[in-house]
Amino acid sequence: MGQIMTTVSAATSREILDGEELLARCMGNWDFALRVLGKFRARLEADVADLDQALGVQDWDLLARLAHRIKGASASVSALQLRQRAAELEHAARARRVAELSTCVERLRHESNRLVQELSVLELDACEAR
Amino acid sequence: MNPASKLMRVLVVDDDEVTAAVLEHSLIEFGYDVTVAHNGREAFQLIRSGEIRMVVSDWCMPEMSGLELCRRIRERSGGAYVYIIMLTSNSRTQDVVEGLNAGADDYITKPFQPEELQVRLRVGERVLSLESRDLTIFALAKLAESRDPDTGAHLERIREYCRIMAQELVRTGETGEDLDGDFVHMMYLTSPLHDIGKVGIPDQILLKPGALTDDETEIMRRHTVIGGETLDALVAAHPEARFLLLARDIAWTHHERYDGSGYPRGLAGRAIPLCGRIAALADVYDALTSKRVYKDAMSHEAAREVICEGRGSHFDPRVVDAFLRRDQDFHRLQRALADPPTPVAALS
Ligand SMILES: [Fe+2]
Repeated sequence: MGQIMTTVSAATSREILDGEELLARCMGNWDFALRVLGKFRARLEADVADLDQALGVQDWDLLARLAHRIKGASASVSALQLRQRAAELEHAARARRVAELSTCVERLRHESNRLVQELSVLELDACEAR
Repeated sequence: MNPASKLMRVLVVDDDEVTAAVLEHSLIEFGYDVTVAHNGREAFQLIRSGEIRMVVSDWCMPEMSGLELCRRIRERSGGAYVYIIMLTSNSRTQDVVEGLNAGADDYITKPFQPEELQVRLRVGERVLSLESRDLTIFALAKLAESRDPDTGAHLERIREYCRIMAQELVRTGETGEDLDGDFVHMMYLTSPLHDIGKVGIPDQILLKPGALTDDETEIMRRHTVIGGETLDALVAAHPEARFLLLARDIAWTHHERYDGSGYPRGLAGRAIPLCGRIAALADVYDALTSKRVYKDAMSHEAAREVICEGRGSHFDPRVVDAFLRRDQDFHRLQRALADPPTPVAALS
């Protein structure tokens, strides 16, 4: 497990995913942490797709709700940057700062892609470590 | 943890399944029985089932928010108190005040830290156990008193005697059992319930002034089993209320004897829970030193003699030693709490 932890820290910048904090929140259970990350990733990809739709139909409440959920889930897996991007989007959507919204969604998507890529590397490493 | 007791059930409410899963995992690790709901409406339905004692709820959810859920829970009439911890990503004072006003007991900022969560849950358990403890003991003690022919200050004396012996045993540590100050307090709280089973004994036997026949004695002895079984049912309904385990054991075993010649099960030695061994001595000392219709009160010295004779046969030698070391306290209490000659004092 320590070995995997080292891999996480090396491969992933702490701002993208704080593996140590995540592991602590998973009570040191790395298998469980990986399962949670899998769930998180699937949810994230679906929610990001929904963001575009909400933006398209100008449903700002839905946009805020989706951003809020992404924020919560990111916080739970210690994806700090993504959490920040989601918080910004949620805030802008609630305040109806409509002009900023597509930029916010774009920035969130960018961070989401970066994270998903890191997660793929991580999953690969975890498989090899077995 | 007593294997017979159920785990406390905690409801996790979060529309974000990732957070819900992480919370659920932590709570199971902490030893709770966990149910998950993904929105307030579903949560409220589950709470109405009456099995949920604690709720850890997200604040911001579609359909029914955590705040609304809080209000709905508090608006219910009847049902046991449900302890609510709110999870919030915004820890602004305004929100916290609003949450507490809605009836939340505590709040935690997201993302949660497991240690913090565990501490908050322990606080909740403590609040719940105090609540049910006070309510239950009050109700039960009243019931016991209403049926116990040994009225007056009997229950008051018993709990004082039990406390003295428990204190002494904790102080010396010679029982070899893991006891703490809480044990002393719990003995004090629960020992008045020792004869609770007498509520199930028919009046003509319970209140009979003369000696009982063999059959009647047999029935009278059943108060131990009735009390034990009644409290055991309460243990199942209130697993968080640790005092009920003690109360149950006392009711069941306070007429057992150290050498195995007691009732109802003829348990011997350490098979009799310590609380039962303590209550047995307290009960006998009180019976000896109290006046009854059919007998005079024995002096403290004579009662001490009787108890010494029972050391190792009727009573646990360590409990007798604790009694002997504190026998002046017994004597003082026995005089201070002696039943008044007329019942006038009871009216004040
Ligand atoms: Fe009794």
